[in-house]
Amino acid sequence: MKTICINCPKGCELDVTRQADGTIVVTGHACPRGEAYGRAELENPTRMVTGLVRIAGMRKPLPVKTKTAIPKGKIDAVLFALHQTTVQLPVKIGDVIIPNVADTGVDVVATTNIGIW
Amino acid sequence: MCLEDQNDVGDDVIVIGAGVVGCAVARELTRYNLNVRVLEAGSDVAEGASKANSAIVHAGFDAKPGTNKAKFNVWGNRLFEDVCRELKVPFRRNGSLVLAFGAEDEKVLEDLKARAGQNGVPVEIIGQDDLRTREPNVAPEATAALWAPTGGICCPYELTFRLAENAAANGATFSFDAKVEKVEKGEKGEKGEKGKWMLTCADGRVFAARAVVNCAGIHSDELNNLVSATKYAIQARRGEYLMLDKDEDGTFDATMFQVPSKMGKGILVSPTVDGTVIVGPTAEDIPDKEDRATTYAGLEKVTAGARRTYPGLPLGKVITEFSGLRAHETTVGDFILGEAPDALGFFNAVGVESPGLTSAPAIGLWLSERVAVKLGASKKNPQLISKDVSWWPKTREMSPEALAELVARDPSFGRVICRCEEVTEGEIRAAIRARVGARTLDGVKRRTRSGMGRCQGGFCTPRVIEILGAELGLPPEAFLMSRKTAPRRLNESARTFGASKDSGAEPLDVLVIGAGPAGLAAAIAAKDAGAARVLVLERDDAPGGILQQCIHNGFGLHRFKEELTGPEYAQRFIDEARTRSIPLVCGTMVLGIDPAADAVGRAGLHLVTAMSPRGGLKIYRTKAVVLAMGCRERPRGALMTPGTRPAGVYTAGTVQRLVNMDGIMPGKRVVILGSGDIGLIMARRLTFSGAKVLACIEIMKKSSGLARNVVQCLNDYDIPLLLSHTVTDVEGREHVTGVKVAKVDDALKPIPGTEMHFDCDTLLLSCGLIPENELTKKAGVEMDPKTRGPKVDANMATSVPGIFAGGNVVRVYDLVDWVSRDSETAGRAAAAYAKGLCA
Repeated sequence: MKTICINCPKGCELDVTRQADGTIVVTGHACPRGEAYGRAELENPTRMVTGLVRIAGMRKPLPVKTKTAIPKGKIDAVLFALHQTTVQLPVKIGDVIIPNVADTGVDVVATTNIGIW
Repeated sequence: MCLEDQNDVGDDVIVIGAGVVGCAVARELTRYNLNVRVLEAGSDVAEGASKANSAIVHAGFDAKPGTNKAKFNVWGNRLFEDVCRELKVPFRRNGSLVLAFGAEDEKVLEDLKARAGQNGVPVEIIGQDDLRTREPNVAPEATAALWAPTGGICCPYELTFRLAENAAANGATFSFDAKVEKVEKGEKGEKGEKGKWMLTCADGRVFAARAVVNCAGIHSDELNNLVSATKYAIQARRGEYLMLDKDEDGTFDATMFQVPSKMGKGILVSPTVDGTVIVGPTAEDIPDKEDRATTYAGLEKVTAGARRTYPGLPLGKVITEFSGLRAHETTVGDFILGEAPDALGFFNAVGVESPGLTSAPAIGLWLSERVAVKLGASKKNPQLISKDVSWWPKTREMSPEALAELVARDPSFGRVICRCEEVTEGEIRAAIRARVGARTLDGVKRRTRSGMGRCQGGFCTPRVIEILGAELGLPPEAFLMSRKTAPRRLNESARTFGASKDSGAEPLDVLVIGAGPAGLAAAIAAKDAGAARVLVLERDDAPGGILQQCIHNGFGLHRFKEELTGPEYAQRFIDEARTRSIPLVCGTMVLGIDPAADAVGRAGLHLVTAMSPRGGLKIYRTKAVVLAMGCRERPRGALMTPGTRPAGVYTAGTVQRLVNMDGIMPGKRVVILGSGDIGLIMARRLTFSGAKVLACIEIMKKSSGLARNVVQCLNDYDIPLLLSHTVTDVEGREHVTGVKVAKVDDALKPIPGTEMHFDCDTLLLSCGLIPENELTKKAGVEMDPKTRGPKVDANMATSVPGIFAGGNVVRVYDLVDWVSRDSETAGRAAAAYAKGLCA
């Protein structure tokens, strides 16, 4: 499988293959992150999801993220959960907004401070 | 006799059309004891030819002697000065030059001179040497010119607006969205309205009046033809224009015409009262009276024509392009003014094309007198005529003292909303609150110039819709849905040298302009390097800069060895600055830097002038300055994409702010032009937010954004990336309805036959970023034409001692981590410089 690493602006072109014995070989990467990314793209591709949730009584939304990458196939379920959520202020960076979002085992956390100075 | 209910009958005179002619007529009519109403089909004044023309006050040498065009041009030109003074609108008699290119042209100049003599217009023919002395930028091929000193320039929409304000101050009523469809005489016996003109609008409203003045511009023939057997026919004649950045101010002093030749009427190049340069127009007869689209062919014609006059015409300085429609009457070919012979009480101003703007004051005088005589109306006592024009102060033209006083009185005049044109919140509110106030983004734009500068609303749009919403009690997004529902610039050195109070006794060591990633990093590094007094000035209401709206991840991998979102990355620096007690002053716009040229007189201190709603105007004295203003997006105008100019076209960063910070979704079906990183990021964001992103169109053979963004923002969501394609037409009158896309050849020209069509309601532009360097240039810092930022050395020092720069203001970076790193260098060097001054 050919893919482009998304970890940094370099955008290494990776070649990922599964050997006959089941081991995965990644080539083309320039760092260990690239190798891990290549491996994951073949086995279980994941993505960080960043999004917005509503703040009660405000037009301005709250930016949030999944604390770590979640399986690619779960993106829609995460977005749906974000859409269903309204938070109360104040909120600070790192506050858990949705624990274990869409059964991924990953929390959604706030990425900005609002109502806190 | 004036009845309250506008559905009832009861005006003396109805003027149809709120363009410059209609408003001039209405204003003059209010000098008589008459009830005056203006019906306008659009939702604002100056919606037709008055908003899109050359803005020239013609001298009157070229109109055929004996015609109305000649008579009213020369008369109007004489009136212009007084009218503009009364209305407090900018006007400058800069004079006009008609260029001849060779002997044949020079003969035409003689003809024009003879014609000018007959029209009573002073002109003289000047030779090549004289011409080049007056206008050093003129093409060397120009051999002679006709000089007409009475030619001038003005702002046509500001003139129209102030005419309307003064008419309204004197009792005229304006009804908008009132497209007159039926004109008939009231039947006898009908509620005492015998013989009145009954006007029925498209929405069913009926208005009645004893007299009607038809100033309906491009549609004036249709109205006349409803009531008179003398039929007229107006041909829409489109003219396309380019507008050049204020950087080009001073290129020409006079308005530069060319002799009319076989090649057509010629393209003019002229300064404007606002300091920009206007180039155009083409002349093309078109069948559709509403088609104000620009075209490839038209813009090429303008460029080629203008280059005959101005060979150095820099296309990189184009900020916008537009087209207007002339109301060319084909049966008479002249202005048709006065009462229709077979429709008594129905007055015409039909076929008022160029020199219509110049003639408007005279037409207003002449027609109003005819109407008054007809109705037997007497003149009002001059002392009872209001001179009010709903004037408000233009902060960009004020002296520092006056501005400081104004902001102290009304802090909203200290909040800059449009940074390119320096328009404040107070001005925008005044424009909305005026008698015939702004109701749309365009209305605000034409009254205040907010959004008319080089970024074309990229920065101010979210802020203006917020103010419109608050003033008019509507949700801000209502103003995104549709385009409906010079005085000379202030001497910049005077502004910074002004007598305003100094901000404090002790000078700063390092003053940082901008609290984005670059400014914060520089301030922290300066403090750590031993600068005691460090201050950061920020224009926005909160620190963080553009990172506030970059809610996606991908920041800080190098710096912090972890993947952060924009706001998280910014917060780390904000926290660091707070730990060090570095003051971050938000809501403060720096207006100018006066570098310490004379180190003896001022102890090597730079003077930085800044304005804020709370603090008013302040001058900071500082040993070193770090420029960290970031960059801005290239607007549509700079791309020269042809088509209409509907609502729904945004730069990607503007939409990023609307969606991520203001909670406003601009559309549902989106096409993205350009594959810059912000566009790619927004493709994913809009998809997440429920929109359908149809395609990302890139003119080059590869994406200009990072490969990783193509993968995770387009490929992950099956959004097609069309390389070697471009948008060839934008469709939609009020709002975008679709775009045409075509493949391009190696010369980047669209290939015929490859067009495809997308139905969409939004077009996003992601075509690159430009360092924001107005302040840098004003400070006299040497620029690098390649990066469009200041030239800097390894210490990020600019050519001016004590002025340093960091981040996107220097060059556009891919990665914020490197912005922080290089800005820290700038901060450290600034601190060292400040220390050196102490020693």
